[in-house]
Amino acid sequence: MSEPVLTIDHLGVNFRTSDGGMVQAVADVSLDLYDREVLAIVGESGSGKSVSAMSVLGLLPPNAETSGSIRLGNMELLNADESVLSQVRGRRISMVFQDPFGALDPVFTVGFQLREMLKRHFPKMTRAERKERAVELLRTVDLPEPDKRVSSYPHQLSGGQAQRVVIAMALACDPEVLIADEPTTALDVTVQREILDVLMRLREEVGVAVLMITHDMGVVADVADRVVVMRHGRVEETQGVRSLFASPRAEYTRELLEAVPRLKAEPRPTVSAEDPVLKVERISVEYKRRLHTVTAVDSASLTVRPGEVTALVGESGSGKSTIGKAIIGLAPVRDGSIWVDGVDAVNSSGKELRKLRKRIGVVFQNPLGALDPRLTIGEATGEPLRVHRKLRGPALEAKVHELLDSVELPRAWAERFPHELSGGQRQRVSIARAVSLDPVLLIADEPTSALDVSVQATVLELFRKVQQELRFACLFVSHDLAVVDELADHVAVMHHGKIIEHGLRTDVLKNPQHGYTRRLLEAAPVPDPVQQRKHRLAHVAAK
Amino acid sequence: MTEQLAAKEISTTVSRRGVWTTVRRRPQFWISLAALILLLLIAAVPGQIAGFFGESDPRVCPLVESNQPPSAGHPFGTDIQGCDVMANVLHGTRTSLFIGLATTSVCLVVAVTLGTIAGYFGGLADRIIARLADVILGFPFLLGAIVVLNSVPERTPLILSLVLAFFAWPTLARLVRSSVRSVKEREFVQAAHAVGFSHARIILGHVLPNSLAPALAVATTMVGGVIVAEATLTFLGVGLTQPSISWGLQLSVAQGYFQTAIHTLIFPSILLTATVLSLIALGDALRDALDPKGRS
Repeated sequence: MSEPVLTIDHLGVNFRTSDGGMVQAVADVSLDLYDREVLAIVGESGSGKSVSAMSVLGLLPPNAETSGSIRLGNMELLNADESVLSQVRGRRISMVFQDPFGALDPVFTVGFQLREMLKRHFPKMTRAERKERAVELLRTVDLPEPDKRVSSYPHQLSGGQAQRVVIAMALACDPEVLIADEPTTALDVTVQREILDVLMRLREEVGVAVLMITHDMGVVADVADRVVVMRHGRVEETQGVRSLFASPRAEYTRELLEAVPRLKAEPRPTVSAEDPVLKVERISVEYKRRLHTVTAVDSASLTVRPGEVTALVGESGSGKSTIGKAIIGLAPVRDGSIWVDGVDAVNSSGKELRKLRKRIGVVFQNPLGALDPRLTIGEATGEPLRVHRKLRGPALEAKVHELLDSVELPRAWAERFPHELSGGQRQRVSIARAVSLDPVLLIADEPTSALDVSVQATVLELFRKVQQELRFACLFVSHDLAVVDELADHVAVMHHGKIIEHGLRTDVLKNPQHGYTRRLLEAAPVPDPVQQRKHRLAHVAAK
Repeated sequence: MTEQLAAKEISTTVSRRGVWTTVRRRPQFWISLAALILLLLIAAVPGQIAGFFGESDPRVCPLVESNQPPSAGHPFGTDIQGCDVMANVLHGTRTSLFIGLATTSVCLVVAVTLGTIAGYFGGLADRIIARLADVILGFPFLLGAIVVLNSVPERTPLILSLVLAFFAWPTLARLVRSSVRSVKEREFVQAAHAVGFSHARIILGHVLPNSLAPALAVATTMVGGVIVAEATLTFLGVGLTQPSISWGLQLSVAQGYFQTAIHTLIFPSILLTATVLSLIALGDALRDALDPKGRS
């Protein structure tokens, strides 16, 4: 093979903590990036993948100590002078971040930000040339109407469009290496696919090597040529993408691949014939903004029977979370009715509503936000029991222990505070709290999407176990079809505030009726490189 | 999987760290507490304490001893009238501490109540409270205070505190309002709504404890500001009337003799600084201890 463009050689990064200790973030990481190659660094949170990438551009915080070597061609980058680095940053190596809106300055137009970049690196360019180049760059990343978009502000763009602009900025100086740190994690699957398409096309046309940091095995299977698997700051293994998926060498890679949820749509015995616990009938939700109203949910209907999980699937802004909020009275319902266990959840008195809410459990997405930082795990779990069942003392303690047992957390942890727990553990506490009052209905709003895959797998397993034991009805809001496939009995698909398809899981996932559902299913990358490459070829050909 | 294994390893080392055990180990807490107790003691029995060091009566002012630097009989020296500075400073503690603490507490109560209502419920209540705060903030403090204080029959420390509090609460209320608003949006508050808790329980149990920290931090620094504001009013002749004794009064008189009798300025300043510093330090120590993250 030819010479690598970028070489990371025995990189080590330690962080000095405020009390004088050292925390090892990265140890002995070596990798090569070749021309026009997509190298994916895969790992869970805390594996050191982002730190490794940041050290390439010298973007580590001042308390970091590095060892080893990072070379771009023949140039040493690690601990290089600021003047050397500023010649490299944006010019020869550029970076795309996860959140496009965080990376763009909201008070300047995208054209201005592109021109500023060009002015910095090519001072000889004339004003007219810069203007022309900015439009051309936007055209390269497939932004529709580039000559008009050049004068729009970041907030006028969608997430996908903003990420295209960020990529255009990264490519402004024809860099040799593009570092993409979770470039599609904040985006919906259909948008993710478009962005990945752009990246793939640019690799061919512009000839850039891509170092892609991701946690998503589907994305890896889709675009990577070679894969570096990291854990605890070390490289577990490096392999070509096909051989990695076919025969992983490291034990950890095997576990990781096993934990990835896959969409199989295999039949499972379920189906209950009892009367539905939740009946949502043609509800519409409208938010009043200063000058106009926004319809978040438009005449949506669905039912959930006892012991059954109905998944509500859709992309961001489709109104799926709003339905969940409307059921617990946190969203303004303009029209239609919601019945929970025979009680009207829209038009009852405040007292009756509070009584009703005792019978609905809720699990939120963000495991850090859903627990009061000032309450211990035991207090948080026991609070609903203390308030509504008036349990006190040993009776309360016994019940809390029972709940912690059911979510497989040690009893002694009742004394701990949320910040001392990992994301998955916090989510277990949220589940324990949500089921503490024996709810008839549980609303789970993306309960696992903020978690790492291996943690997600254990939490989902636990969730299913608890659900089967307690037999509550569950409305499971999610954007991830593979997760939905593992858990749900029925699936409802939402798009622009409307439920466009509602049926048995196997029917919806195997034989989708609506065009949007089909698009959604196609866009989700399959964690299998052989199959996914076929998908990609078919998709590109169709374009 | 790995996660549960980790859980079992750590679970044996769990120890209870309450507020008291944490705060007990911090020297900052004990030093500031001791300083404040000393100040309160001085406020309670200023005469006796001054008597240990020399002149106990602040109103014994032999003119022959005018403007003496610190000496054996007068450890803090004497002022332009010949009065003992130490006796004056110690006697002033009661009024000044009272005005500082009373004003701040009244402010805090008003600001927390109104700020929470505005931030939590929003809508009309928010608009009314916010406009009210704007009006008071927009009103010139000195002008307003002069008008109000000139129209009351007697200018006692209590009246003065109330007037100061009236003009100081809006800043604090805005602070409370904004932090309540941000806490209100957090998921654990929505989770509390979702289990059917009442508004009162949610506000007192979840929203307030998580949004008070910035307001308390500002309130501790406010005490010093209030004591000085009293001095300004007194200097303009609308604050406490002679023969009242307060640090503010002493500071405003001493300004005029800054070059000839600097000790009359320094000693009240030291006590004022000590009060404010120990309040800030105590507030800091308590805030850290009340925050579970500061307890590990």
